[in-house]
Amino acid sequence: MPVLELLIAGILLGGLYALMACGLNLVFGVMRVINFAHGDLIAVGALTTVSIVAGYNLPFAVAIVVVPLLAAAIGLAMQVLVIRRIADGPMIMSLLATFALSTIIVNVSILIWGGGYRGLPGVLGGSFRFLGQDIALSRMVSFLVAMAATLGVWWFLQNTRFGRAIRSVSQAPELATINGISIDAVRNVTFALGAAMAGLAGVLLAPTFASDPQLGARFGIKCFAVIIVGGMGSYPGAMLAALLLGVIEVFSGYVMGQVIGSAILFLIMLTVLLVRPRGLLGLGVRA
Amino acid sequence: MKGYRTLLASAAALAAMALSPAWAADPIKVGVALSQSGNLADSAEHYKKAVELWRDQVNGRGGLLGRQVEIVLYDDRSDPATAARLYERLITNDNVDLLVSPWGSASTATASAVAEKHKRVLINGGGASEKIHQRGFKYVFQTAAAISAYVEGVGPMMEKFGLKSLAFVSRDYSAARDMAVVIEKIAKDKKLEIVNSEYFPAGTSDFSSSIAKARQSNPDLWISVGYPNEAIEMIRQFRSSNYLPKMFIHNGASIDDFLEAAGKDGEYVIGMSLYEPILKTKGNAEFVKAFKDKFGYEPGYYSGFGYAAVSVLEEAVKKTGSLDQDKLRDTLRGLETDTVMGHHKVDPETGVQQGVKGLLVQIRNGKREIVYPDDLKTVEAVIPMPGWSER
Repeated sequence: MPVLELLIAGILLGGLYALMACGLNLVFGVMRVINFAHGDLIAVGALTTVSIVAGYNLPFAVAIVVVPLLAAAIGLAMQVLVIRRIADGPMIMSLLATFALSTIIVNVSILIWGGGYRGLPGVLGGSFRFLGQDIALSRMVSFLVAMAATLGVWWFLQNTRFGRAIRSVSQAPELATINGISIDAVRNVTFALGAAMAGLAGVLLAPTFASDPQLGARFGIKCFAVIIVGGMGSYPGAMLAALLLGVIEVFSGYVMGQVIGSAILFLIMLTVLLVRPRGLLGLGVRA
Repeated sequence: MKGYRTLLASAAALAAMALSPAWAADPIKVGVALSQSGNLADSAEHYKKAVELWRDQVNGRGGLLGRQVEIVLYDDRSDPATAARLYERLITNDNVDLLVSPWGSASTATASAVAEKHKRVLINGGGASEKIHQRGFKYVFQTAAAISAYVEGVGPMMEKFGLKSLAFVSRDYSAARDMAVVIEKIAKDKKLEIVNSEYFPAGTSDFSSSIAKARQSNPDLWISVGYPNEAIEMIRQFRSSNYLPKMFIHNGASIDDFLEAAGKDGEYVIGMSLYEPILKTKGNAEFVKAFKDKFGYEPGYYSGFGYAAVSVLEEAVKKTGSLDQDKLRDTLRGLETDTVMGHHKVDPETGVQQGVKGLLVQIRNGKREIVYPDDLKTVEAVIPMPGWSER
């Protein structure tokens, strides 16, 4: 068994999962809203990237800047128009609302880009040698960005004034209000930031995967597995869970085939929900 | 007042025509139910357009048996049960003269059972599954290429280029399971080694573990059946992990999306195909031109299937000289003709298609070129594919 090759492939795949799950985790951690449309924002990010790079022939760097901003704008619109009005209601309301938004985003995307598959040839396509292995350039970049984004968000929440404001809103909204923190402003920024991270994930998915309006359905479920196993709302937990799930998926796919390999991912998710619902390092769904 | 009277008179005349028994100038009604909504609607649309093009052409030629042709069309909503109900209605309610199958094997399976029950001839233009024809039906004739045609070029091509081993890595769905059986048989006949045979579930986007396996077992051929996105993802991941088999075949590579999405990385990939606009089959150049003039794009294989179905139907009716279903059936059992898809010939017992050959196409300079079979090829295949560092 080529252990090193599988290990590296698993860690890099885990990096992608971490990147995709990061924004979802942020929004849940702060707002207790499960954003079902997160995967669809990733799809919009990937498709916009293809349009910018392959359609308008602009450099990939432009997409890295523009797409997260665009996604943030969409996220802010979702928050201001819909989520804000129901975020304090029962969780099922925001869950259903984001589910509806998900369907709308998918169908608008089909209207814009059509139902077919697109790709981004010629961007970060190659590989480099490291430890005697061929490492995918695109995966390495998205892994590094995922690490940076996760650490960045974590640092931001722990060490900045606004970060502390965000945490106080998520932990004690009444006290935050008394201290003059605008809950609405904090939530708007959080949701926009979460959406921007979905956009960024989309940008970095585009070089490796085929992009289509339904891409969110293929990856969204794995994002949920990551934040459930990691502990919803915990950033180091999600990172750890993403890497772990990536490695487990690749190894079990190699040993038992991909059908069983991907089932194992969800078996782990189920087991965590039953045995340790607060996840590896998490605040937990009961918090 | 005068206008009103004319209107009344023509209405009466119309009513009289509708009530009168069939007479020579009545149009021949061709019934078809196909997906205009549901998951097959996109592809069925192209099938439908080919049928409509044929109707206009045949009417322009003076019709069939001297009568105009009219299409009676319903939407089966991509649902096999609805398809069965609609064919019942076409036969018993609309009294159509001729029947063409829905698009897709599932709906064709139920529609053909209804046609058989009423002893009505059904042209199976859209159902590739051989199982449709393994139920002892006597009135169902396949013009669509059978499932085995998709992969029939694999054995000869491997032999020609001296390839000995293969890995089969496919999405887990019924078409792939059918094709796996054919591939196993090819491997046995040609003494090829299958080093890996695995399925992955729908939604899989990462092929790291299969690539790691292939690096170990080193198959000459990596063959896959699935969706176009998987073809795109496989070739991109081959590139980004610096892996390449000598030959890579995926049915998704013959879809236009693949050309753009895979870009230069897609060069030399081989796709399974059944119809290409560049095919030098009888009447194909004229069909492609007429289709493009009418609809503004080149016909793909969905349209090729539709056009072949009605071409065979027209030929059979002309040869029979009547619409009598039993006589038509007898004609169809032995009918051999050439369509845009190639040679049409069915097994007289089962009605399964035997004449239409599957094609293999290779992406060359951003276009699909036919590399199999030899008598239809447009270029010689380049195998093994040049490695990533040699491009």
